[in-house]
Amino acid sequence: MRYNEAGEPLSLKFTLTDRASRKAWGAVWEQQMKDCGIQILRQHVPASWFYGDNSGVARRDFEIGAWAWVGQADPGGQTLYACDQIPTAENGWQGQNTFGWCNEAASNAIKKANNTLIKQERIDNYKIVQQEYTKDAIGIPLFVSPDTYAYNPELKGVDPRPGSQYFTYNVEKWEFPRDLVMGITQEPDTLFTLIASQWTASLAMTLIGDVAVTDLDFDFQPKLVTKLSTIESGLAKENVVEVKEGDMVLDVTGTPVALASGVVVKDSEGNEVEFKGDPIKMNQLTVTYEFIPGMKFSDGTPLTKKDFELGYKVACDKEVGAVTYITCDKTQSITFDSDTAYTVTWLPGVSDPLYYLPPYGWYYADRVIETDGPYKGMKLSEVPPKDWGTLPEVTTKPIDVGPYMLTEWVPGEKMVFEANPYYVLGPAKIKKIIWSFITPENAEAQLLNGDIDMLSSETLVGKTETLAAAEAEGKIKIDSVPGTTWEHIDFNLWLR
Amino acid sequence: MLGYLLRRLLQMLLVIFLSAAASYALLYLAPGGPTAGLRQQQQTSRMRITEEDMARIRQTYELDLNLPIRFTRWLIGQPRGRIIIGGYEFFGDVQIGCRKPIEKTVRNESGKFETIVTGCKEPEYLKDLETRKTSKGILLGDFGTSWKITRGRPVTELIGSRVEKTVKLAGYSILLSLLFGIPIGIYSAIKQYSKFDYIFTTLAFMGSAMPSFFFGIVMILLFSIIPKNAGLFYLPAGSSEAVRDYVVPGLGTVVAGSQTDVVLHLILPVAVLTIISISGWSRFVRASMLEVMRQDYIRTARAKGLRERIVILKHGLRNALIPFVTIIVFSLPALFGGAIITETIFAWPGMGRLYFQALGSYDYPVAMAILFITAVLTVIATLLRDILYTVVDPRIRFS
Repeated sequence: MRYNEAGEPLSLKFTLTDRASRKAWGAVWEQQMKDCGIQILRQHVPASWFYGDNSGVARRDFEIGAWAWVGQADPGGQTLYACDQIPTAENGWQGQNTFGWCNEAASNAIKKANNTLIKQERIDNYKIVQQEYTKDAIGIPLFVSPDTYAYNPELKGVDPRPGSQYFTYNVEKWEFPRDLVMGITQEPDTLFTLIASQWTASLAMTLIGDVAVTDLDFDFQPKLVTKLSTIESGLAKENVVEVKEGDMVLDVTGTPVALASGVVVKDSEGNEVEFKGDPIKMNQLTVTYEFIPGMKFSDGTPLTKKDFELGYKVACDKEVGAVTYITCDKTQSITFDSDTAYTVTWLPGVSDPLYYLPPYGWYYADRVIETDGPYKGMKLSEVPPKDWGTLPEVTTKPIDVGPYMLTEWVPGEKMVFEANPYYVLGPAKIKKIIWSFITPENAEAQLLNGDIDMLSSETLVGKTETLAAAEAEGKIKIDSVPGTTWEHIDFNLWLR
Repeated sequence: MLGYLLRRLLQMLLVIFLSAAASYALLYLAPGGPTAGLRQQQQTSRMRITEEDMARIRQTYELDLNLPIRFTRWLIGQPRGRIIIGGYEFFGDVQIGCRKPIEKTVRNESGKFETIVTGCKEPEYLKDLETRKTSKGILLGDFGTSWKITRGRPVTELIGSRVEKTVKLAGYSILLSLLFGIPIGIYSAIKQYSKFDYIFTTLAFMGSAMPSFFFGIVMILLFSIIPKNAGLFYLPAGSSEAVRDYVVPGLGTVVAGSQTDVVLHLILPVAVLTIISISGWSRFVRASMLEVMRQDYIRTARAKGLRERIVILKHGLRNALIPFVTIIVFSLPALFGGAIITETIFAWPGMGRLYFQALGSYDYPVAMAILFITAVLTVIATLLRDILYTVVDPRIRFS
């Protein structure tokens, strides 16, 4: 152990949550640091405190801390490491730069990356951030949490890929000689994904509604769109426009505001300028999102322009109950060009690096409401969005264009999906997929017993000894791919 | 008798009210809550929560209302707005909460920063409640809608989907525990220090000492996984029924959802709960019987020349069961509340699991509904116990 002149040991407080895996690697790291002569005072705290709004990480209440970040295919305009994102009492604890790292070169590179829509320019700037991060050694990246999938070896076509949110992205190609039973530990709260908070709700909607764009191998690929709506593909363009007082713009903090004296915006040259009454030239992005033709709802009705119109109307209705409306607030105007395309003109100043991902979906506008109540017999498009959150046609019995249709949902027990005969990419090969709601404690037993055929990363936290033994015996197949979260140790550089 | 019941009824109402108020306040005063973590999501380009968003979300959960107002709206569905009597409006401008509080970060005595509310930018007034959806209140059987588990759908619908499973699980377990626990306890007592007594006492201690999660896993291994792998008759490892047909050696194809399927799925979790209950209950009956059998009236009964069977069953058991009544009646709340650990180990979709899930996901309407119903059942069980005492023990009178 290293000591100072006063005989005090070099010791640091290390705060992390009480999750089992963190207890395991935390103990290993503590020992490694001891071998280096550094005493680590490890304290495991409840996640509710460590990630709480007014405690732990949010208040930078740690000397060394460990948690996980969620990796994305594109940082997407994250200003995480910028100097002006350090949460302090003075700024009301805004920002996520909780380690207090302020490196001018990195901070500038982040801003430059966020100010360009050219992918290569962003990559170059993010590279600078990574280099500076490494030089300053503000943290220790540990490992990427693997996403583990265990399934019956008879199941073919499952191909989970690094960085992908949904392993079901190609579910229509899977093959299995009978009905496929998947063990799911968290039952979806609602299938109205605008207000849903659970990942399994979105996963269910990948079966019922499919995904427009996949995110395999930390990149994006078109699936239900003809191509990604990038500047390079010709579907997006950035114009220089002149803005004047009262115009809605996006200010430098990313907030949609009416231009007025004192508002700071980014001009078309990328400089931050304060509006003082004279018009300012700003960049404005216009993007067309083109979907593949021939999509039909699972009752055979074609997807049309009015379904897209309803999708936008509902997503932007402030009474619908969504958590955020930032995408709507950043939309200056939208035009519905055809049954398969719409064009969004974003507010001047919007430079969302993920601009090529379709911001709005669709809803089956002509669907007739069958549930007893005030809306029975009406069309879905006639129901006020504020009541959609309680409408079974939206929350538990949606009809969509994906490879499967939900035919039964027994709360607490199962969801049954059957192949959509009208699916645009051809009917799915497995005729029926059943989600059986189980518990993590019971999951492996049911898999090994053959009661269920597949467990995903939603349930499995890794390859256990039991699963490894079953795999060695050929009873199951296991895929393990880098997931989207990575663990790291961070130093609080700005303790006060 | 009537006076006694009326008095007890009033006491029950008071106890229910106090327990509801206490549990409601505790839930809301505990750290976390439905908006926990939302502020940390502010910095992404597609997820930016503004002050207005936060105010709207707080309003959805009624967190903008003062706790007593929130509580009475949950309890009786009031207040709903201005009070109007004879065309005159009252109290419309009384402040009952705050839509956008003014927050300030200060250092507390221990040097840590904490956020305190120093004022209110946008107050909520009584009249503002008129445009809100309001439940009728739990006293009228309206538990509101779920916040998280089945977002936006009625809590009663959610509880209704689980309660039958729990009643079935707990009901069979209680019934079997009574059928086996009482005779074993009696036999152990009257054959004290016999081989039977030693064996069952040992087993009872093992059953009482074994944690249910461990016991459940052992049972799954012994009666499900190992025999299945060996090609023998096996029991399903979990869930309340299968989602597709399956083959069990010796039984053939079992149709998912059939009576056979349901029974097969019940056996293991019921067995775990029953064995654990028998362990405790048989020990209780044994101890109680031993105590009674030493009483003078038993000696007198024997001296009168009564047959031993009459002595045991009529004079011994009836008196020994008096304290046992307490245990039995308090099974009533358990019938509703479920068994969290056993339901989790066996993936049983019952009330115990639901309650655990509700707490973990900050679904307070669901958690409060379960707590409230459990409190009501506990109070009813207490009354039932007191009434049953008078039946089993004529010395006890209502007063």
